[in-house]
Amino acid sequence: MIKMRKWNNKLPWFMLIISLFGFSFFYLIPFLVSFLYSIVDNPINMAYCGLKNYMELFHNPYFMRGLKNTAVFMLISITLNMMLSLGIALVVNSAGSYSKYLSLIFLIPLAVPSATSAFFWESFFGLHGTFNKFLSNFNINTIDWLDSKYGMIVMVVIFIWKNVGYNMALFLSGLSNIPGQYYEYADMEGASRLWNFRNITLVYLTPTSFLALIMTFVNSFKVFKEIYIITGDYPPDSLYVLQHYMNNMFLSLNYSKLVSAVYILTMVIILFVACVFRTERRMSMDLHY
Amino acid sequence: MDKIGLSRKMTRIFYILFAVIIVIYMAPLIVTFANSFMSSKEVESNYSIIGMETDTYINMKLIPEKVTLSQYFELLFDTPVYLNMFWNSVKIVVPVVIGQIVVSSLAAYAFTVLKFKGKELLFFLYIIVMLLPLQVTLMPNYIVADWMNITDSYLAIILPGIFNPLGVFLLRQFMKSMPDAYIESAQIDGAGHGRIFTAIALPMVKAGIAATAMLTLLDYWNLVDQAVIFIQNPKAQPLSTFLARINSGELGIAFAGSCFYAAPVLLVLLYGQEYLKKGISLAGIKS
Amino acid sequence: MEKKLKTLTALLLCILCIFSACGKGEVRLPPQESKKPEESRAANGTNGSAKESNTSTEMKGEISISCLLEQEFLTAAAKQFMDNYPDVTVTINAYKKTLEPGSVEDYQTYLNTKIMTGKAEDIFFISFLPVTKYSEMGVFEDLSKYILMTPEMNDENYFMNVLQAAKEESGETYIIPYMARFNVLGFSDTLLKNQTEIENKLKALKSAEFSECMSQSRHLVDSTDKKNAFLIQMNEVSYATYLIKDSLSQFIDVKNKKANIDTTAYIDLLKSIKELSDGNYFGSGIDFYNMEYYFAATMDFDVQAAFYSLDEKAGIAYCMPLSERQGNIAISANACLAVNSASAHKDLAWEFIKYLLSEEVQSLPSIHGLAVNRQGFEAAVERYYSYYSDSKKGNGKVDKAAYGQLLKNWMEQINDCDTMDSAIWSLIEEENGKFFSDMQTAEDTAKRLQMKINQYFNEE
Repeated sequence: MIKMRKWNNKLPWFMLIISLFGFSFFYLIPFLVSFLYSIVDNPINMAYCGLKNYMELFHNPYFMRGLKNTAVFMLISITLNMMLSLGIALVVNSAGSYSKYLSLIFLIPLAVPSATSAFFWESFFGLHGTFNKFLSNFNINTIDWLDSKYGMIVMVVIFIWKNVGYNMALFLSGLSNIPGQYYEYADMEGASRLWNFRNITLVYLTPTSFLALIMTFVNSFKVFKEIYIITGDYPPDSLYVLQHYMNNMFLSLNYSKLVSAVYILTMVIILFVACVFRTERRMSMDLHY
Repeated sequence: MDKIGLSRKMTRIFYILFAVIIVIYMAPLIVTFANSFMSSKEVESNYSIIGMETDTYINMKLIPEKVTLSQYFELLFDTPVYLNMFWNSVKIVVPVVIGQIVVSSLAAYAFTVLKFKGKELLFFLYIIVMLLPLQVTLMPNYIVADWMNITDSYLAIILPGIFNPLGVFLLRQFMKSMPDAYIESAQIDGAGHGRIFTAIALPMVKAGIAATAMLTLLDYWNLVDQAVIFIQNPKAQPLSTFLARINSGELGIAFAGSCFYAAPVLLVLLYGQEYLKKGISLAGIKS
Repeated sequence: MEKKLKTLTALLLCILCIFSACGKGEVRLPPQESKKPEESRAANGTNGSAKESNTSTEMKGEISISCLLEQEFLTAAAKQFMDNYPDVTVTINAYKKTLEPGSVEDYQTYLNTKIMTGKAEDIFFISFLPVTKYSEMGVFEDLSKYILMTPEMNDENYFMNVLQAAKEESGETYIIPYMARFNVLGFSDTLLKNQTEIENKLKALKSAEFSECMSQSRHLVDSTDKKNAFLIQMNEVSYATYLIKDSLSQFIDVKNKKANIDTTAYIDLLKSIKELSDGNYFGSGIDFYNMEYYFAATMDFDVQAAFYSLDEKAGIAYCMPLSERQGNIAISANACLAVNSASAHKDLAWEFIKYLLSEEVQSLPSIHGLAVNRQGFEAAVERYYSYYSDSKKGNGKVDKAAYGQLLKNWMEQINDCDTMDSAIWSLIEEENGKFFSDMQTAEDTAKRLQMKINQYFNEE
């Protein structure tokens, strides 16, 4: 009896070890080892050069442009995405029997392959695209939207189109998690809708919001694929994000710069996730199920 | 709707906005679907922008002049390799999804139940690595695959896929809301961790599992870079690489190909999003 | 507590990075000797280090070759080599069987991964690989010392000028051709009738500078009374590419990594081509079956052009190899070989390359071009002579000796190799294409190209 207890207590450890082993082997250790590449100047003859790569990166106009564009893009798109998807989730949730189909509609963009959606958006926003056709009816000057300084806006549109559905699904599941009795109590006390929203809905959506935030962050990197298909290796300035830089470094055999760029990005990610983590921790303390 | 806190009027406004948004959302799919019934020539005449003068535009038609299944025929019968590639994609995705779910749910459970120093740090590490872009892990993966001698097989893609930290992250978040008291009471009743896992934890995170499965499916159905590096045999290439090579010459089949490509994913989505919505059922705790 | 530690470490690392960016002092140790990662793992192969004499290379070991497409002569040569030296294994890794859209980019991604992880093959076939980028990163081994150490590589047996066509200013040779391929420009006999002035000018040329020849062609078209006379059978984009190649150093400074495209010279170039196109000098829309048409100039590849130029009835005269403004005649880099600098079997690889350049292999019909080995060259001349005579492609009789001599003269004029990365040409052609389709102005094209090419060179 006691033996079984002991073995049983060890069981979760085994469960963890499997994942830990694979994770370290295929992800963690490669990531840490690749740091070595960032302190040599050339992946082929591996001459040690300290932090020279990092220094050079900060003086590199292309890297800085990519960094700036990535930061701006993320700021805009993550905020917009979170707000929109929450709104849509609220509406879909209340749609009763139609909600199943409504939510499916928003999930469709995830299923459309990148190449197809890239082609569609290119046909839509390009110089001869449908959007320009629509605008020409109002005699507005037609330009190649992808190529102009509005390129960032196009990227945000594509990102939101593709990823709102995913967050909406997360929020939907989070919404159904909120114990209904709190609303009942609030009703009894005569609370307003806004109060309900602010103090019950939002508060109980915290863990889901945290989840959605991280997932949006992950997905914001993936929009690169569509942009790459549309504009290739050397996009117009407004569309040049950090992944373009990394991809071009890969093609130039300059893995060292690529990894250095990644580590700089990682620093930013660590800060971001640490902040979010801590906030979530603090806010979850208030939640009672 | 009252519960969530939006008034009736606001709801109505939202619904109208909604209709517009829905049209935009469905547009690419509808266009692709409609265009897949056009003949190749029509597609080319509508979309080819070579030599187009200013002020002429692409014709994004919704109703084909002549409804034909020629694209599908050409796809399925003239280039039979397409069906083959479809199965290749399946061969990659299915092991990854199943493996992910198994490994991640085990790990997520362990994260929830175990208490040890550095647990949060470890989880933090999982998240950081999950957020990294592809190129970083691609090269070290190649070294590892070469060492294991699997550079020319699906294993080089499947194995890293199974151990992707995404599932662990998602499932652990869903499992977090499992109260300790619940577990303790089950243990007092004599259930071991194995039993708690299968009988309590897993059913609670059905939504999480569905979410993980769908995300992983999407990620690996769409992969291109790894296939280029790890699979040289053209017959063993997955579907995504074929689609990534749409050029203006092959626009014709591309639409039908896209529909074919998106169909299974849509089906899975349709089936799976029910689970997503169900959420964690906490009815059991009351008792 | 752990949280605080985490955030602190993250902050510290960030501060460190920022300081390292601002600081002038470099954190730098003297560079170590270049590591050879493969040497420690050379299980099967011997290092066969031939010191001064080249006869002591042990013919034992494994070498691997990477190429984009399968080549018949390569497979045959490898097999024969293995039969000759039973202790040697030659593995050929061809990436694809046929060229499909996107194969070139895929092959590059694939090869890049291998090179950067140190697992690449010993010999590379340069098909569309970015030679300048690769040699900058030190991927290729310098072959000049190997050439020096091989006494049989002399002018008697080989066209040494072709073998060393890719020699850099500093003396290193990173790629070596196994076959020569170059373009030849010829002029229409019919249009040249009675145009003695132009004929004299052409006679004075030693090699066909594209811009010069095109201006002569223009004179021919303008002064002829024949209808439907056009400059050359090309579209505007290819024409622009050749014009740019003609004065490449003016537009792209490869050594200093600068593009000089946003200049009046380039814009004028584009506009002049547009004018030509508008004046119907390119004959777009010719009905090849129903009209009588004349092209003032024709661009053709080496063996065919030589035959037609000697064939009196073919109507082509004054054929000369295409050169750029300074008279340098270049071969394409796509028919070249290189050795991996990280290879553990360099000497053995060189032995195989020597074999590929030997008479045996160079005489194989599957080498679709002019061999660099002199005996192989003679065999190729025989082959192409019979092919063109038999197929009655021309109408007159061509003397075999004259054919061989003409080709030999041309071969001996070769002194350069076109190593500009094909990625740059793709960028140029894409933007030029947009200009010629009226999608953007010449000034915009120049500006965009300037930006993109600068980015290509300087992104690191």
